[in-house]
Amino acid sequence: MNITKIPLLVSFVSLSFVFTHCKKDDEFVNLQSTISSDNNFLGAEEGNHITFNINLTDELSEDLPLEMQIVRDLESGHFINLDDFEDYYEYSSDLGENWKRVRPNQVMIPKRSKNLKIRMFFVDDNRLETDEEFTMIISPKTDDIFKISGEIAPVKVLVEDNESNLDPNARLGIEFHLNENNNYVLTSISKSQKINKVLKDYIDNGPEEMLINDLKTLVNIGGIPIKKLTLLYDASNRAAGYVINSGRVFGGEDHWEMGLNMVIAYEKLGVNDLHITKEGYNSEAMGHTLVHEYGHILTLNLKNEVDPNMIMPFECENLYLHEGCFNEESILNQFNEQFYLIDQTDLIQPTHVTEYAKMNIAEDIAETFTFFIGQQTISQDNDRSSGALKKINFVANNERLKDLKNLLVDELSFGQSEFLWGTAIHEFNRSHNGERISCLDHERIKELFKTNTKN
Amino acid sequence: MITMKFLVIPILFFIQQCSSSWTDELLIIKSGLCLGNCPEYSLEIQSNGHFVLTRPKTSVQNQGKLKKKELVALKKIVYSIDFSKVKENYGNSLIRDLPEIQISFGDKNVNFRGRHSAPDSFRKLMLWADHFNAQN
Repeated sequence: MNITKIPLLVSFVSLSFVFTHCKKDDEFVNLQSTISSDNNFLGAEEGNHITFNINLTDELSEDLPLEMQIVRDLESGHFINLDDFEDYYEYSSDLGENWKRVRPNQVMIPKRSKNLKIRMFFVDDNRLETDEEFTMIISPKTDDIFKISGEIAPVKVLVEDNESNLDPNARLGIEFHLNENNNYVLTSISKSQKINKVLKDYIDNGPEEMLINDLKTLVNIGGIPIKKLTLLYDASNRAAGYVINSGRVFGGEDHWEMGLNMVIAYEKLGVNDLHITKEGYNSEAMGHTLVHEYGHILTLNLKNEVDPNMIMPFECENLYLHEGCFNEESILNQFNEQFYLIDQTDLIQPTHVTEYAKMNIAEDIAETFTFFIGQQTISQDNDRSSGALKKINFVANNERLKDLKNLLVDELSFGQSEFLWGTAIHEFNRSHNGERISCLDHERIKELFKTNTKN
Repeated sequence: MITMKFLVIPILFFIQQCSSSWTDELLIIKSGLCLGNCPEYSLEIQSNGHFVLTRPKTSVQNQGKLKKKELVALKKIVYSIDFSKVKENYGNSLIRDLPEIQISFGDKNVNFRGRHSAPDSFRKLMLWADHFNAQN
């Protein structure tokens, strides 16, 4: 063979091969297959990814687009936030050797593939969050071109937060600590507390702004900070709130924690249809609770009321409660001397402003303080007044408490009209012959006075 | 009919099992007031289902016998609690305004400050008792 003909021969053979090969590929036409997937539950910690495995029984001759749909249950307390996952996917059709990053609407099973891996990535943020979940629904977009049988089962996905609680034993609710900038920052989420959509909203976006403003108002006017705020939202738990001072652990300086069951903030007290809502912050019960709890702080604090250095009851010559020994001039010690170190039968009924006030002296003054703030007018007491009215007058005349009324009423979001929870003050007033009458009902008082005078 | 047998036999077996373990211990659940709407009551129950429910606020005392269904549900909860291993106190007793709840079983007494302080099994018992109190 002439050596000059060799390149020509090689070209001919190559072209023949190419043509033959191309012709063979063009002949492969398949738009029919059965699709399936491996998992129906996947979990990952934030900062990591999950992998969905999709399988076809037969290779297709065209790319099969897939629709990726993230379904979030916004009524639950665990739906994933939109900024907690990346806005792209990666897929591989060679068992994870090579990955292609695409926008969510560009995921596909490439032609001539039978297995597809799809990766979804979760953002590693530095925010404490609740564990989140969603359902991924992956479906082939057949567009009347493909004939795909079988299905990809919906995949439930759980994404665990990787931040730790400040308090690993947090049980009561979600906890916020007051930071150096006077802001409440989320520090712990109770594992035993069921997180609903309201609590999730607090976790993601912070507590109710009006609540924070009200707390700051109380602190600004009362002068004792609330260092820790615990919020729960539990309709099965009918406790409205609580306070505790860990001041002795903190070197004798006040360290108050306030807990609030936010169910009461959005409902009229006693009316609870178990509908979890965050609508309408102002309720009479919330106003009552906030003032009651701050009443405890005002009367049980180490700054002015309780001697931080006196630990043992036998050293104490004044009132002693579990908060410690009260200073002689403290509000509660004076309250004790005036109303408790006397013959209780000397107090005319009603002796307390509420049933709950009968629990103990600390509850008595907290409830009395709440009535003092909540009532528009306080009638002057006299010898024939009930114990309850005398106690309200005690608060109204106390040097440390008397000026707080107008300040709080002016500044708190619920004002004064929202203190309807409990007995109205006129129940505590009596006429001179012992009948209960309304102090605000002047016409009736006049009539009674006329009648009594005639008699 | 066969299905009924399959249902009844395990239930009877379960009741018998419980009865053999809860003999003469008196179960007492006392729920105290809180700032809010916490129910205040004292509930005493014997293993045969006889109960005494007292509400201090109204001085009303109810006595009677639990329905079989109620007793089964209660025993299931009681037997999920290992009373020999529980602590005497749960929650911080220095907290103001959370209710005090006392549960005794025989000579074992357990105190709680707030329902949230209780382990899950006790929470179930409290919920059962709250529900029973509300129904009676």
